[in-house]
Amino acid sequence: MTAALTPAGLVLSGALDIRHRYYRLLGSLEEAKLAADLGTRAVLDAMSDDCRERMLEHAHAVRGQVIAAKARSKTASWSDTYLSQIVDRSVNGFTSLTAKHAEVYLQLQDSRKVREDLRYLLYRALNLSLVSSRHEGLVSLKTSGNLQWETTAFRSDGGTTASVSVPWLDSLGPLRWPLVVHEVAHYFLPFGDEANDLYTQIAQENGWNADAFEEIVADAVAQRHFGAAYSFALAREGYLYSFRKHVTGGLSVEQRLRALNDPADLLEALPAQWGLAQRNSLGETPEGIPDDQVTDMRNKAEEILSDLARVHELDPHLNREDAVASGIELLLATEPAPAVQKSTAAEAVEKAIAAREADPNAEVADVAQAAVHIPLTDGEIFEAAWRAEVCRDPDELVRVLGSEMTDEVIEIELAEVTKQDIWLARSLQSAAVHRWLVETMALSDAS
Amino acid sequence: MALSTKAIASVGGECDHVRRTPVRTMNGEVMPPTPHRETVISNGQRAMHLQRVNLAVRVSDLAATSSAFFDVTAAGEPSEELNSLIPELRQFVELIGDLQDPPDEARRYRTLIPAEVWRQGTADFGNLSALDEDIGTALDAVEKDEADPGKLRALAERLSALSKAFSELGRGEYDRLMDPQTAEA
Repeated sequence: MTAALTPAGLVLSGALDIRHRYYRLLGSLEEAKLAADLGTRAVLDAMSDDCRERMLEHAHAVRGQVIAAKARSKTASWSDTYLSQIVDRSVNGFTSLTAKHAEVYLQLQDSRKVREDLRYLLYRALNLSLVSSRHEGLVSLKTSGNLQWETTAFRSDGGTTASVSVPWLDSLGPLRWPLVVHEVAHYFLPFGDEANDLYTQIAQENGWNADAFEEIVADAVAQRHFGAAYSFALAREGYLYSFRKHVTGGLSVEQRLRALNDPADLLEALPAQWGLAQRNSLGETPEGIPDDQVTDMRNKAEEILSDLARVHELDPHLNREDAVASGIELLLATEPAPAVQKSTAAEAVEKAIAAREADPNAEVADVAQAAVHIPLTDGEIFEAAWRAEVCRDPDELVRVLGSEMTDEVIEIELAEVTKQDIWLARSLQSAAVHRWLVETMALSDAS
Repeated sequence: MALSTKAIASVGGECDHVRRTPVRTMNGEVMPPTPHRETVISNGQRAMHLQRVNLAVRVSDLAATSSAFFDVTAAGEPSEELNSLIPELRQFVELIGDLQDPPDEARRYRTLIPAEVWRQGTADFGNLSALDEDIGTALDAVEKDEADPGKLRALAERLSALSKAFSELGRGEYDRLMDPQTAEA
């Protein structure tokens, strides 16, 4: 069961997310130790202990605030002060995790490769072909010791290549992978056309800040494939970095989320304590980009994407609400969620009975529909995963965050996070194969 | 003036903290190219920065827990669960004591950083040399049920402000580690 999105729910699930990231780091250290030489293993052992200690410090800091808030409120409502304190603890925990991550990364020569399923996802999201050498040359994905998604571009005789630094820790679990599409979209549009000159030209024609316009288009490209899931990823990542200086383009993360305009429940529940409206600009007008200009930029971005869809004869797909709901149900039962049944067995049998009652000779082939599974899209799987992550019952979150961290709790939670990551990755892979089969069958039927 | 994002390097190759081309980040940041010599951070320097970040975060978190404890206790709502935080407050008292110790002459380089972090974080608070004693005294009074709510509340406010100062210090240190040049701007 999931709960409605609330500011408190977002803050609390955000605090738990930091703990989960520590688990990923701990889990990967254990894995790296297995293949390490004795010296490296000793170093990794020490790092693992230190990482565990930091996680416990973070968990205790959050626990302190949760216990105090519970004592003061005695009800389900949370005062702004405590929410603010919990956000502060989360950002602190993330800052400390970032430092630890940078340190651990230096010791992990052998496991630094970006996973291939992340690359496949990127190719699907941008309608690139895995067998095109031109497309292969567009992007270089590299893991990074920084916990921040970054991109730069290089030009050679063969054209431009976007080099994306994927935070190594984020490469281990798929939840934040929609962010990679945003990164690449700074330089390429879906189907692989170079975008930089186009962004600059449009921005100049309209008197806009080119950096801000580029940001809005890159958001729209990511949203095109992932729908609401991208907004969840952006909001969650955005608040952890909202304290940082030098944001350029004059846009706040909140403005970008409002431009995406979906999902309504997330926009409604964005906690003020996340500080997403903040603009820490360097050398720019302090007032930033006016909202109406952001709307114009967004309209232009939609126009670009509609033109592309028309040229390539692609229908835009929206995440189906019922498919997302079924996906959430499966993920919460810690099952993979690659597909949903076309209809339930009960529904199909009822239909068949009704058909037979109306006409004893009627075909009852509909019964077979109960066995047919429809693959979910990447967007639907990610939205299901994000909703399962953030729409947790606040009482349950308070219980988890307010509990003592024993060895047993750590072991269980670590196993849970690992399992969730594996199921999510497998869901994405098997759904992709399933969709490919369905499309191939449709093509062969048509011919 | 917005930094240009359109300059694209004709040569590749970057090491962790040396950017030869502008870098675009998830939050819309554009980090400018950084000159090579000035910004190479050695492992030793990095370790020093990381130590500063961790220490600032640790002080901030423990100060926040202590503040929350005294705030709730001052409101007269003690509970067994709340008392389970007392060991952390004792840890904080100990940590403050350690941070105020003069640097160890035998290992001056290593012990200088904690003292420096403490000095920086408390710079705006006047003399905090008795903070550990104040917390210890307040804790003893709470345990004997003799605490003055007004004094507890005042202590909670001081600790809350201290927590904020150290969390800003930690984030600033982190910023400097990630982006040494522009963080100073």
